[in-house]
Formats: sequence, structure tokens, C-alpha cells
Amino acid sequence: MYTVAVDIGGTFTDVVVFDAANGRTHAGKSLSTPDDLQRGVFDGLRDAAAGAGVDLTTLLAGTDRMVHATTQSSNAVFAFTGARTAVLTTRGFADTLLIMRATGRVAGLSVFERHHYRMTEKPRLLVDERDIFEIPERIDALGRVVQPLDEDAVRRVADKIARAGYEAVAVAFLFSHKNAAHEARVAAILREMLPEVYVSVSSVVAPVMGEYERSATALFNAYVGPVIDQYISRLEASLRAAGLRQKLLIVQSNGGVATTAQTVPIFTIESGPAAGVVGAAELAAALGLPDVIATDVGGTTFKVAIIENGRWGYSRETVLNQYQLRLPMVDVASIGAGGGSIAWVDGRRLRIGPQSASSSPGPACYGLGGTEPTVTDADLVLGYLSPDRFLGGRMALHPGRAVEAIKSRIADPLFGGDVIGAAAGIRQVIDSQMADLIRKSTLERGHDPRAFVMMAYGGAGPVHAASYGGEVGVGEIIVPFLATVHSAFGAALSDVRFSLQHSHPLVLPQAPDIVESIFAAMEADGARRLREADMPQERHRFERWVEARYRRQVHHLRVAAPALIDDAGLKKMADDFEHEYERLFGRGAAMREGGIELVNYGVDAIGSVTRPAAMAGPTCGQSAPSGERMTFCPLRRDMVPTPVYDGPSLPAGALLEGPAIIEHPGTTIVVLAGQRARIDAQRNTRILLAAQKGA
Amino acid sequence: MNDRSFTNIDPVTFEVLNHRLLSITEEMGIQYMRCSGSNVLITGNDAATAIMQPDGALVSVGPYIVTQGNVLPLIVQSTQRLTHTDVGIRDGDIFICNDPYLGAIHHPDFATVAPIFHDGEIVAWIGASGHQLDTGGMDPGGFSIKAVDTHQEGLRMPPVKLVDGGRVREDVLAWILNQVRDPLVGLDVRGQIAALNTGRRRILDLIDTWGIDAIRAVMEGSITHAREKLTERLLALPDGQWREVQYIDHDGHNPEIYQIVCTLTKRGGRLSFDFGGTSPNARGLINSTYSGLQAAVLSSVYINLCWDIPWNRGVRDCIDIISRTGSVNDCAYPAPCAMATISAVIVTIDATWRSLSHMLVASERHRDQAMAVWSGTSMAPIFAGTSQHGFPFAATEMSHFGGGGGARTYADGVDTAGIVFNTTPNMPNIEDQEAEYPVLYLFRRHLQDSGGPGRFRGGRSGELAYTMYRAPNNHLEGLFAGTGAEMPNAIGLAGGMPGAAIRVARVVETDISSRLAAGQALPASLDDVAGRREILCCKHVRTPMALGDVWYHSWQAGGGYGDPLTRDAQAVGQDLARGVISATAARTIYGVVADAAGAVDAQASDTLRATLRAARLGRAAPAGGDGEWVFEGRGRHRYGDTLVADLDGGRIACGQCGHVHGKPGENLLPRFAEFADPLASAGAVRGQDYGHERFQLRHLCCSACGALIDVQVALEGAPRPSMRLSFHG
Repeated sequence: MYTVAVDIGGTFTDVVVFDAANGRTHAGKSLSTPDDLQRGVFDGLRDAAAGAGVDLTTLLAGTDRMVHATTQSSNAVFAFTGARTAVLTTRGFADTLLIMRATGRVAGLSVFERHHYRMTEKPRLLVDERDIFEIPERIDALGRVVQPLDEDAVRRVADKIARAGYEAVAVAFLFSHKNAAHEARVAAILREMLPEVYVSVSSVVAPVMGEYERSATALFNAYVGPVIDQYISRLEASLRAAGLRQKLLIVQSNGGVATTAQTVPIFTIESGPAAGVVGAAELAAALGLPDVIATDVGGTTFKVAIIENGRWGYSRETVLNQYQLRLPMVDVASIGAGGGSIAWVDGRRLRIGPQSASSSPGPACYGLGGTEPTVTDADLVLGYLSPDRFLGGRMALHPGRAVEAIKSRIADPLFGGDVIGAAAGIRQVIDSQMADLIRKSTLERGHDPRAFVMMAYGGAGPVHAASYGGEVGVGEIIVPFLATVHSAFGAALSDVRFSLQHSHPLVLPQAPDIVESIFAAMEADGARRLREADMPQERHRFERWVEARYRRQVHHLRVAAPALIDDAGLKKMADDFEHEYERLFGRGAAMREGGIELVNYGVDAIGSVTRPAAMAGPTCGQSAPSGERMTFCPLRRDMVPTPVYDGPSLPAGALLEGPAIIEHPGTTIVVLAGQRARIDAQRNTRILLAAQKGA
Repeated sequence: MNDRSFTNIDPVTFEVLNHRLLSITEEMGIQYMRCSGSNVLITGNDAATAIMQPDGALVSVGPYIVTQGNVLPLIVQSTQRLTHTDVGIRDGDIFICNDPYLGAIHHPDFATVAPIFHDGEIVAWIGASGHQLDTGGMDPGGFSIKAVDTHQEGLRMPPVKLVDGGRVREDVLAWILNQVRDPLVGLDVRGQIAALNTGRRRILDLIDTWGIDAIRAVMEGSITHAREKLTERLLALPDGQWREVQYIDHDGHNPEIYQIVCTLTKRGGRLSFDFGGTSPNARGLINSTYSGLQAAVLSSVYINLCWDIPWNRGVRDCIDIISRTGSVNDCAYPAPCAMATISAVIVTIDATWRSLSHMLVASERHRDQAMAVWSGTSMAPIFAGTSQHGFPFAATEMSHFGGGGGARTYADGVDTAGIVFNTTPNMPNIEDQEAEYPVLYLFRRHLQDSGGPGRFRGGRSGELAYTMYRAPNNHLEGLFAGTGAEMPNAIGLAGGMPGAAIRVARVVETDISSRLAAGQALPASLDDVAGRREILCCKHVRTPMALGDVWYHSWQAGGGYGDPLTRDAQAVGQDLARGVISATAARTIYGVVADAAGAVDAQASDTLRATLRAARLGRAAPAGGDGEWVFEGRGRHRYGDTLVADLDGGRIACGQCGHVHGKPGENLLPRFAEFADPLASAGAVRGQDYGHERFQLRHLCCSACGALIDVQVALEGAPRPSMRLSFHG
């Protein structure tokens, strides 16, 4: 039987197949087809099937688990191709989604972008005043009805929506997270009167306090709803027609999977990067490593996720097109730094980014007309990249163009014409920016990055990890054997997972059964969903958390909650909160007099899947270098002869001394002088770093 | 000196360390904000963190309140000057200060600073500052409307040692907490301590890794970079002199008008801001000390000229500030100044902002950067009492942090964009407010017609209303500290009109209580509230709220750019269909005939616009008064869309009709036509509700075609805006 995972990225569609019969893994790749993503999916599946030595029908018929991560929702959001959407709000508050708490002007922007006031704008609006309808109704902060729902008004608005031809409606009333009755009634009326229109309800999609974020989540869910529903049901039908017998599972932004019927459309946003973090956590767990910094360097962004004790965190807020949403989403921090980041001279300063060369014309070395020097150009000039093996040999690079761009724009004005020095400088600056983000992400959580191992994947992650990993002082960097299809790898290993949350402020002390009943209700809900996803009871697992704060403080801290809240459980929860608070902010930074307030509660209902057995790589193979080329050595500050190894043929157990270059189809692993690399039993590359000072 | 600082360090090390310093400033801010409990601080990001050189020179500042970061250097200087030798400044110390006469902008901003020692020597300072919920004083919340001297405004600390060699002085903290009404202040102060401890550790780590020389060089290099880059930018802009006048209405005691006059002289690479002509100290809390004045000037320059230049000491090095102690924006002890941030400081920003905008509009290369004035004022609507949770509180309603953005020369201003001194604007959710405080909001929305009319419209502001809801003993008190009710401060640019003023009201003797009891529909606009409406003074003393009373306020919007009669008629139609503007404004201000769905009658609109232009000329007379409007020098330049200065050809002409106004070097003012309209001619809520009628809208227009050149908010007897542009070729 096969486990099959498909991940659609911006450029490539990646496929991973685990074959349980022989413990082998096959990777497939195809070009993504943004006009009709399904085509790329089938191309990739055929490629992987060929690798497994079977045809597509045989592969699909023998598949007992089919997992898919899609960019369809991101595409709809960023290309503005979602549904024509109307919004129903509480009377008096129609402008909530236009005011955007004022933060909408700068949400998601860097400090530098925020300093340029004149350039900041609110995003292109998904709905404006003409699409938003106020409904007389009001619920108060405790969930009591202040003003009953005017159902006649709802029907009048429904008529307007029908006449105007809207394809989706979002319903978002004040305090619906406390009392969902009005929203539920409106949804029922709309579904009865407008059966063709997609209805998105805020208390269902984001049952948490904060009307702007809850409304925005409901809005985006409505906006992508018809597109996603149609896409995944069509894909599932096509896969079934092609031989698939199992339910298609869709990767969610919380790092889990759900069936197509259970998928809340907006929960598929950024699910590919989420699956990458799952892959990092799974691989680390298999290697017995609990604390991991997962890093991914792409063309335009550098992404970091922190895995503590085998678990990833969830972000407090998701920013999409400068709208702020509340989704259960794997916490991935990012900055605009990647292979395409442009180097430029600012006075006497060397600056990198935030501007980035897009894929066309791209870096100067692409030879597509780009003239500005980028990080990729520097990597090429420094010998880290091979001109003829970029993107698995799919694209030839032009070193001469890279040299010319760096010389004229950077080396001549700042480095006395020294092109190598300039390229090394570009690389050091970008790597240190990446290191700063890693430091910030770990220090913010009260951790020392030096206590973590680092994982590096994505096309350019392995090219830079030896540098930024060295700078933050980690002891080991792991480049997964499947680094270039890492998100598909993670998707294949993802559990069924529902992240449920609930807001209900309670100041301690409280009777434990009140708190327990909140969790118990969520777990019952979670168990029902797991059963719907064909997960038998014995595979159910529940992880509880609570967000608490010191009374009257605005910010919350999330801590794990015990599986049973009795007197001891409640005390443990409070102790854990106080302990975590002191760990993060130091002794004395709390005002305990006001007491602790529990605010939000969460349950991750998890249906564990069977992990395919770890496959061992061949122990024989070519461990001698396949060649040699000059690469830059930061210690000697010069180009030095460097052995080049062919990654796929390196046997388990091989040990290499840096400097060394290990070339895989689709990525290059750089090992610097003073570092060593070992190929482990699963053929991951483990780079060992000497202890570094500074964090 | 400049060269030395950059040759001491290679560009790569500089970049790496400079980024680290910025990250540390940001991390300090995150640490502080996460500890804080104050909604003003967190919702408003009303805080600052900074790294400074040993003499207090600002190196790097966190992305929060722009104005606050600028005061930390003054606090460092006061600490060094005033700390008694017996007390001493030692490793591990932290000092706290909130004295507006020693560096703070106003009492509520508590600042803490810590020296960083290396080998027994101070090598840097770090600082954190944040707005506290209460400072003691006459009224809760820090704004004592009836104060006549600063001693009535509550706790005023000179630099005091708060942490002694790493140990928190609990006696000092207890003393602070004894002076304020809200114990949360203690949490904030501890948050600052935590932030400074973190910053100190990070910088010591950096010194340990890179060496003290590299850290010194990067601090100096960062300042040098800013200075060089701003100088270069200034050299590319026209020289000239601009005079701007702005107003503060009401000083807390009397409805007096105070004027802030700014004369900006730009020559080569230097800017000089002279505030001669500014009104003397006010009796009440609207004053600002020199700290606020400097912060205002810097904020204006940062935003308008330093969008890609570090906001640090290097910018200050290019600026001269000339003021007279004893004036409303450089007050003399013991003048009260609790409201400085939201009166004298922000109004000084407005005056300096428009001077800089005039300079940018005249530059072909930098015209895109010019903006009309953003929301010209800020406010503190405070309600206080005991919450439904049993806590005493004094809360500031922070929705006005969604002020309207000023129009740009190519696009409308951003709606509910923020207040200019706040890099990261933030308004609270209604749900957060109601969950915490015993109030029920009736509505919060964009305010119609608030954006300053223009070819590009100013961004909209908002309005809201709330009523007391389930308060213990049905008791709450309301206080309002605001500026800019009698006249708007968000003045337009190049013929654009001002955005809305603020308006404060309450409706008493309403039927809200009976409606609530019966579950009946609640009113969703001010006009819908049945009862007796009272327009409240913008400095409203603390009064009780009665059950069923509705409190209302709206805040300032952004100024417009260009003559509204030149706005694309389709865009006017869109605004009408969206409810951004009223049908009246579409016709009378924009001259567009359109139906409610926004469909434009092009021909009727053309006719109407011609009629309106003719009507302008019909009531215009040659412009007069003091002030000048002079173009001199060389080349051919445009001033927005309104004037074309062909200096080599010897003529300055109308940008619309080509009519020649006059010659280079000549004062063109008498050649322009001028007429005055009531403020209401720019739309609703321009001050007309206050009935004083002291201000008018002065329009300068082309004497041939009636195209607007400049629209000014004018007070009888005040100096006129004035400009002299000298193009160096």
C-alpha cells in the first residue's frame, strides 16, 4: 500500500510516495500549472508512479492514504479571483471591515515599510460599503440578547443579495463567539433562501473574541469558499475516476489534515509551509531531537518555525493582504530575504532587500534581462552554486552576468572593485539578517537558540544554513534527504487534526468543573469530527491549551492544560502560567494582585496516523568527491579548492570534512571550513559545527 | 570625523551590527509591551525604546510612537546633569523620569534609562518610555482640565534611581504607586525594567562578540549615514522660506485661541524652524515644553523627508529650532502641559508638516512624497468609574487613533489611517471595550464628508457613540481632552480643503433605558438618538454620566490635495455611491451631478463646475494682507497643478488656464483672487457646531479661471501663510 502526498508550490508541484511493501520512498516533481492546478498534480503523480515502477492507476488503486496541500486559496486571495462576496453585520458597525482597526494600513509590513507613511495603503478591499448590509440585532459582552434579531430585515437583505448576484456571504455579528444564535438563525435563513450561495459564519470559522479579526476570517472564508469547495471536490472526483479508493485528505494551516467535506476553505491557506514544519517535527522526532529551528529559504522569503518539545506553536494572528485573521495556523515567522533579494548601495552602506527580483527577469545570472545583483548572484560568484545544476539542471546560470552586476553596482563603489569581497559581503549581510530573525523567534519564546538543532530545507536553505546556523551558534544542522520536496514529505506524515478554540473569560479561583466542562465539550466535538474522518477511537488524542493573563493585562500567554481539570489540575494550570510568565519576563514583572484570568481555551483533537517505517539508505555507494571547484572560504577570506560530492550517491555513514559542496537535484548543501558533514542512516545530511560564541 | 567613523568599520560589519542594534530596540519594545497591562500603551503602541551614545545621541529607535523616542536623549542628558554624586551613575542602574521640564513630553510618559558600562566606562545608554494610565493629579487619567500649574498634574519625577546596581528599589516603586490611582502603573514600570535588562544583556553580548570599537563605530556610522543622506536630500530640494499658522482652541479655562506660527527656512543642506509669533503660555494644560517642540519638529521631518533614512541624531544635526521659552509650544515652568501630545505638539507637527509639504510639492523629483496634513489633532476621551468586574478604572477611548490620512499628490489619503506620530496605528475592538468596561456602543463608523475635499480626497475619520451599561451603582464619569473642534487642523494642500474637525456631544434625557428594557431597536446614528443634544466643549471637565445618556465624539480626518472641481467625476460618483460623501458635497463642493448609485451626468457636471468657478470669481477680490508668494531663481518648475514657474522665461502662470500671474521675484499674492467662505463650505463638522464663527476658509485662486491655489483656515488678525521659493537652477 502507498501513502501519497502532493504539495503544490509556486514553481513546482512535489509528490512523495511511501511504499509500505518495501519501505522505499519515491519523489516526483512537475511544473505547477496555475491556470488549472489539477494538471500539475497529475503530472507529478505520473512522475512519482514512474519512479515507483507502476502506472498511475495502479498507484492510486494501491493508495491507502492520499494527502494534498494546495495553494488554491492563496492564489485566489493574492490574485483577487475569489467569489463576489456580501457581508452581514450588526447595525451600527458596517465599517468594521473597512476601518480595519486602522492597523490595516501597515499590518504585515516591516519597520522600514512602516516608516514610509506616504507609500502605505489599506489593501485592495474584498468588499466595500455597497457589499455590506447592517442587520438590526445586538448581543452584549456576556452573550445576552440586547436587541432581538430582525428576521424580516434579514429576508429583505437576502433578496437584495440574490438580485445582485453575490456568490458568497459572510455573517459576522458582535459577540457571536459568546452567543451564536443570531448568526446561526441568519445562516439558516440564507441557506433556505439562497441555496446556491456559499455562507460563511464567523462564530463557526473563528469563535474567538475580537470582531474585526473574526469578521475578516469569515470574509476570507466566504471569498475563497466557492473556489476551494469546487477545486477540492473536482480533484477528488478526478482522482477517484483515475483509481483512488480512499477519501482525499487536505492539509490544513494547523499542520493537520481533514477530509474534503470537513475542510473549512480558509484553513487551507499557507498549508504548504505548515506541512514543511510538520515534516521538520516528524523527522526530528524520528531522530530523537525534541527542539528544532526549522528554516526555509525561498526566492523572496526566509521562514522560521520553532519546534519545542516536538510541538510547533500556533500564530496569534494571520495577516493576509494586510487583513488580520484568526486561524489555527502553524506559527511561521518570515522576512523578505531570499535568493532574489537585491543588493544596493545606500550612501556608503551595503543594503540587501527588501526589494526582490521576481522570477522574471530574476537575478542577473538567470540571463533573462535582470541587471541588479541578488543573493543568488553572490552565491554563484562564490562558487556555492553550480552554473549547470541549478534547479536540478532545469536552468543554466550565467556567472559572467552575476560578476558584471556585482562589480558595477557593489564592488566598484564600495569594495574597490573586489567582486569576491563584495559577493561575500552580500552573503554575510543577508545571512546575518536571517540569523537575527532566528534569534528573535527563539529569544521571544525565552529560549537560547544554541540549545536547538536546525533544520534547513527549500531550494536555498541548504545553501545558506551553514552560515546563518553558524552565526546563531547551533551545534548541528540537518538537511533532510527529501529537502526539495520537504512539504510533501511533511504532508504525508500529517495527523488528522482539528484545532478548536473557545473564548470564555474566567477569573480564578473558579470551580474546576466549569473549566473542565469547556474542555470536555470541545473534546466531544473533536471526537465527532475525528470519527467523521474515519479515525477510530483508539487513535484519538487530545491536546489542551489555555490562554491566560494577569487580570487587566492585555496580552495573553498560552500554556498547555492538563487532561483533566480537577482541583489539582486547575492549580497546575495556574502554576504553569505563573512559571511560564516568570520564565519569559523575569521575576517581578507580574502584578498578581488582580489574579489570573483564563481567556481562551483550545483543544487539538488529533487522529494519529501510522508513520511509514523509516527507510534505511544503501550503505554502499560513491563517497569520493565527484569533482572539485573553487568556493569562498569565510575563514581564509579567499576562494579555495573545494571537493564536490554527488548527494544522491553518498552512502549512509559517509563522513566529509568542510569545506565541501554536496549537490542534490534541486539544491546544494554548503559545508564550510571547520564544519563536518555526516550522512545518517536515513541519508539526511548532518552538519556538525564547532561551538560558536555569541547568540 | 564623518570619514573616520566609516573607515573604522567595513560596510559588511556595519550592516550586520546595525541590523542587530535595530533588532535589539525592537526586542526591548516587544518585551515591554507584552508585560504591560495598559490599553493605551498596547492598543496605541504608545511607547518607545531606544539605544543611544554615551552623550544621549539617538542611534536607533523602536517602531512605536515617533515622538516619544525623541525624548529619551533629553532624559539621559538630565540624568547625567542632575544625578547627585552621592547617588552616582553605576553599572546596573536604571533611572526613571517623567518631568516635562527635564525631557518628558508630558507627565503620563514615564521614561526609564540605563547606562551600559564596559571596562568601567559608559559606552551607551538604552531607554524605554511609555504612556501610563494615571499620574495622580486632579483628574483620573492624567489630563487635569482645570490645572493652572504643573504641580496640579500629579506625580512629576526628576531622574530618580529606580534600580540600583541591578536591584529594584522597591521603596521608590512603592512611592510611585502611592501617587497614582491605578496599580497597573507598577506593572508597566516593571515591564520597562525587564525591557532594559534584556537590552543591556544583548548589547553586552554584542560587545563581547564584536569588541567595543566595532560597536562604537557602528553607532557613530549610523548617525553619520543619516546626516549625510538627509543633507544630500535637502541639497536636491528648492531653497526657500515658508510660514504656516495653526491653532489650538480652548485652554481648559477659556475658549481662547492660541496660534502656533512656524517659519521654515531651508538653505542648502539645513532646515531652520523658527516659531516666532507663537502665542505665549496658555493658562491651562495645552502647552508643551521644549521636549515636545523638538519631538514635533523631528517627527515631521522624519516622516516627510526621512522615509528611507534612519530616525536618529543625524537628522537632528541638520536642523535648527528657534523658539522663545514662555510660548505655548515652549512653555516656561510652572505652566501645565499634560495635554501637550494632543495639543501643542501635534499642532506643531501640523504647522511644520505643511511647510515641508510646500517644499516637496515644488520639487519635480520629490512631488510624489508630499502629503496634505493628516488628522490634525488627537484626543483623550476618558470615562472612569468602577467596572462590571469591580475594578476602579479610568479608560481612554482609543478609537480616534484611526485618524484620516492626508491626501497625496497622486492618490486619496487613507481612510482611518492613524495619527501621524504613531508608526503602527491601532484601534480597539468594540468587543474588547465592552468586555472590560461597563459601556455599550451604539455605532462606530467612518464619518461622512470628513475627508478634506480635493482632486485627491483626504482620508476619512470616524464617529462613535456609547452609553453606560450595567455599571455598578449606575455611575460613570466622563471627561474630554481634545483640540480642533472650533476649526480643522488637517489643512489641505495646493487647493485641497481641510478635513473634518472634532465634535464632542452628549444626548441627555433619552429613551435608551426604556429601549434596552424592552429589547427595542437602538439608534445607530447621532441624529437617531431621541433626547436633548448638547455640543460639548473640547476640554470638557469631569461630569457624571446619567443612565441612558449617550456620549458621542468624532475625530479629525485628512486634508485634501488640489482643487476639488478637478477631481475625476467618476471618482466623485463612486464616493457618493459608497456613502463616503453626501449628495450635497458632491454638488456644492465637487460640482458633480450624479444619482445615488453614482452614475454621473457628465454634461450637467461640466456646466455646474463652470458655474461654481465663475461664482468664486464673482465674490473674489485681489488678495491682500501680510505675507508673500514669491518664486525666484532659475529653471522651469511646477507648484503642484496650480502654478507653472517659468523662471528663465520670466513668468509664473496658472497651471490650469495659463493666465500669467507675474514675474520671478515679484510678490504674486496681490495678483491672486481671494474670497472667504464659512468653514462649513468644506463640509460637515468643520467647526460650525461650535457657533463661535471666528474662523473662515480663505481661498486663493486664479484671477482668470477661478482655479484654487491654496485654501487656508484663517483667523482675523493672525499672520497669513507665506512662501518664497528660490530655485537654484
